[in-house]
Amino acid sequence: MAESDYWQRFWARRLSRRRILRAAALGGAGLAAAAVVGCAEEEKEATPTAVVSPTVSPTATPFVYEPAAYRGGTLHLPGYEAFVSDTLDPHQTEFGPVYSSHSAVFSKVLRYEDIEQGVIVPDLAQALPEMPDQLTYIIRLRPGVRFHQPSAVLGRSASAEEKAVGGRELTAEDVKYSFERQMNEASPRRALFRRAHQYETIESIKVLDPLTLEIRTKRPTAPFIHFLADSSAFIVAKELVDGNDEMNRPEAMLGTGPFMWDELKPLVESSFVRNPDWFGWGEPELGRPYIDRYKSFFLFDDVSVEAAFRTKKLDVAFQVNNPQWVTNLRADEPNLISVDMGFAAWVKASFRVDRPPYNDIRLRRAIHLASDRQQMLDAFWQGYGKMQGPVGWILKQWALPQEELLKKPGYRLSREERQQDEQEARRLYEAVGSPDLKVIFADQPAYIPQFAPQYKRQLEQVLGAKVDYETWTYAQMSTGAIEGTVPFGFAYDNGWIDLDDWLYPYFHTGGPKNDSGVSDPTLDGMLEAQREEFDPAERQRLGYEIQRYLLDNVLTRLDFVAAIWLWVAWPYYRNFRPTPFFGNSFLMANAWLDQSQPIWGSRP
Amino acid sequence: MLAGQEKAEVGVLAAAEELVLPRRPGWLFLVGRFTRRKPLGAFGLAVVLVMAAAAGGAPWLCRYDAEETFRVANTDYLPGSVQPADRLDSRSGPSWEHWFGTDQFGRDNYARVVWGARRSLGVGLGALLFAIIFGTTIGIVSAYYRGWFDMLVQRIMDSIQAFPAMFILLLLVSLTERNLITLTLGLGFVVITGAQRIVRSAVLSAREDPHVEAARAIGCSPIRLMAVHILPNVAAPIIVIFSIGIASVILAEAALAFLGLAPMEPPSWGMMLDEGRRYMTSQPSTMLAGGAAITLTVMGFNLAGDALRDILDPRIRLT
Repeated sequence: MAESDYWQRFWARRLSRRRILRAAALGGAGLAAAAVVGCAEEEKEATPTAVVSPTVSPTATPFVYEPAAYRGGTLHLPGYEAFVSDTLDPHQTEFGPVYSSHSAVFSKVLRYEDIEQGVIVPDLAQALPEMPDQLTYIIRLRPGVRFHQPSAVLGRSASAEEKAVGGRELTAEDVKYSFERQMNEASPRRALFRRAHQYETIESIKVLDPLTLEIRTKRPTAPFIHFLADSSAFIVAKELVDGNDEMNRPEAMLGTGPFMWDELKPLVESSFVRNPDWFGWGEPELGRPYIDRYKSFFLFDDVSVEAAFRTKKLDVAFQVNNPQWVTNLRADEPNLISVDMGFAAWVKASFRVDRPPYNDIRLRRAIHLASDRQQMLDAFWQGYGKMQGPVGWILKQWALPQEELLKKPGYRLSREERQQDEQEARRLYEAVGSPDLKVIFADQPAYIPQFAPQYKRQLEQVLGAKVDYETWTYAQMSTGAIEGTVPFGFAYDNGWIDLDDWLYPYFHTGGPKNDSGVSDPTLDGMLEAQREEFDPAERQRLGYEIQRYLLDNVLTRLDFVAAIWLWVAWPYYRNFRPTPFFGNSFLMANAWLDQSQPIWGSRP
Repeated sequence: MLAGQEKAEVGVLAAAEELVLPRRPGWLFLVGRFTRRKPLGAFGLAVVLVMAAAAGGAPWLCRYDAEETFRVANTDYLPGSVQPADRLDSRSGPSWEHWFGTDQFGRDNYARVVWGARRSLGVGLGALLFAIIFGTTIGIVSAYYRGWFDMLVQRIMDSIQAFPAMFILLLLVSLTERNLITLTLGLGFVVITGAQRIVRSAVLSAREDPHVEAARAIGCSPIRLMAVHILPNVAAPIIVIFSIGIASVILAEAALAFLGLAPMEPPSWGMMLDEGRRYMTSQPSTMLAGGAAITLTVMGFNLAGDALRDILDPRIRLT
């Protein structure tokens, strides 16, 4: 609907001669990178190159940044960075806003330049890893990358952590440590390394010299390049991790990224300051980051966001769950930068299937069919969103096409089909003996617990069930999921970039997010096969098969809906670039504030 | 002479009868007098009665259930497309179908206000009954026995009162399961300290009254003294505590619901306020409906409570 209009406007507005030239240059770089992957032994790239991840196929022109005409200033954003629901540890948090903060502060070996197009480029690495074979990755790091020294910029005394690591050059040992930390089965925090599955494939990590290391995998792993750029791949210094294998304290937030951790005022704001010694992705002459600082304000309701944006206390905004004010504002202010972008985070339910009553797939299917997804979409975001299958719809390369998904029971929209689904749900529910149901709702975002009476009513009306519910905090839900005390949970989840992230950790017998206790050898085999498939088309086919299998035979996680976020930014915010995932705040290094804009003068 | 005397006696008796047994004024007369003397109090009482009627008669006063959702035809729908044929009728303005509009989940705001009265008044009455029973008992016993027992009880009450009521409430709702019973008891708990203090001060005066002294002299037990001879004499402040305290409790319940710390069902005015404020610039009907219900009810109880206090307090009544 509005989405296609957006893209038409978006590309019409942004296409210029300079953009076309830059796009051509980047595309050329992508082709060169692809050549590097194929002929790594013959050529060694010294300059950063881009690669289209084997996990995603490109479908549109990449974003092109404008060089800054003005420097300095503080960018004001709305966001949830000031809400630390679990831990500050970059390898243990599974809360998206937290690793958004990390992504500004810590660097990775590789990073996503364009998530939607799947363009991966070097971050700490000089170039993309050399691959002599499908099992070996040789990573060469940039020289002169140094850990933060915030005391010099912020004018305060250095912490013990900064004294230990500040200004030290990052080496291959740091990279080795950061990966091995997440592979360490003896860690007292083992269960909290929720993305450890990405590193299970590593057989060995050898440091060849202070800036070079070789990683060897046990088996071909198609998404390994993606793992090196994903949200858990932050490189940390060993000195910052305490004896309990934790770095859950603000003083330990010392990385090598474009911004330094300044201050976290819980549930108020989070502030990040420019790192003047940042390595600049091989282009130090640009002097990025252009802005001095950015602040993320914790504003959790539309009225506050709208008021702050209208008065320019925020430079950018998006709807929390009422898109109407954004559409009204766009009509009032035609010069605003407007972007409608699907967001990967989604609403889901999950079952504990290793015990009754949810070990019976008929009951899970009954609940799947009884859940009215369209009502959720309308209630949460006034229809601005889409139905969600086992893989986020935003990942068009991997998600079952909406046309197919909307023909499946539980997703069908016409009244007649919905009635059929409801009748089948009732039949299945009665066939399993009509057990009482209890749903545990996460307490955030607010519309999740507020929806509880509605969902209860849906299940009661369709199934004729006796339904009870409770509300737990996000932290209680996370702990309960690990401990297996959430038999039927209803919550919000972050959303992921690669096919593997959506499926393997949740559904593989040994998957770290397999809180349902699902163990299906057929499914395990399918999940492992997609991991080893380097051909994108074949991997897509395998991905589709897995999703169909999940919907037909598993249903341990019911995927409901995901939102489309309506963004608006004042025109002085240049290189504004929203992304559909958490964890891309390093892109703020390109942001600058155009003080030549007439509207800039009215900014407080 | 005799006949005249008889006539005179009959006349005197009749006059005395009239003097001794005046006609009791009817309730209509009393209501009229109350309305004339305390028009604001009468207005408050009327509001309270309307809300009580709403709470009691919700099933008959509403066309819809509080959780029922409504859908409307999707104007963008094209047969064969992947668009849904209808959509949730959410955040709509007042109409003939939905007098106060609908909320974000497509529920009727009027129905939620009326059903919400049941929760607000139910929790308010329950909490106040709990607080009055315990507060009165503690106040009477403490003031009756005085000495070290009174000192001990009052210092405990002082310690509890040293904490802000909202802090205690937040602690209670965090530590206990979220349901209406714990919410009601929690709200009642924070009222106990204030209630017992007022009752205690009234009892300190009443226990010295001659009729209490007389009862003690003829050997009444302490329990009988407290229950039969003292309690009726401190009924006036208890009624005032009840009428004014209930407004505070309704407000506190709304605040907890607004903060998302109260049970989601049945509907709550505070919850309506919280949900409605998220889209108050585009569709304020939910917020206004919930807010108006809270304001009116709290104002009603406060005005009625003030009027009752004026009537029941002899010092104010004499002036």
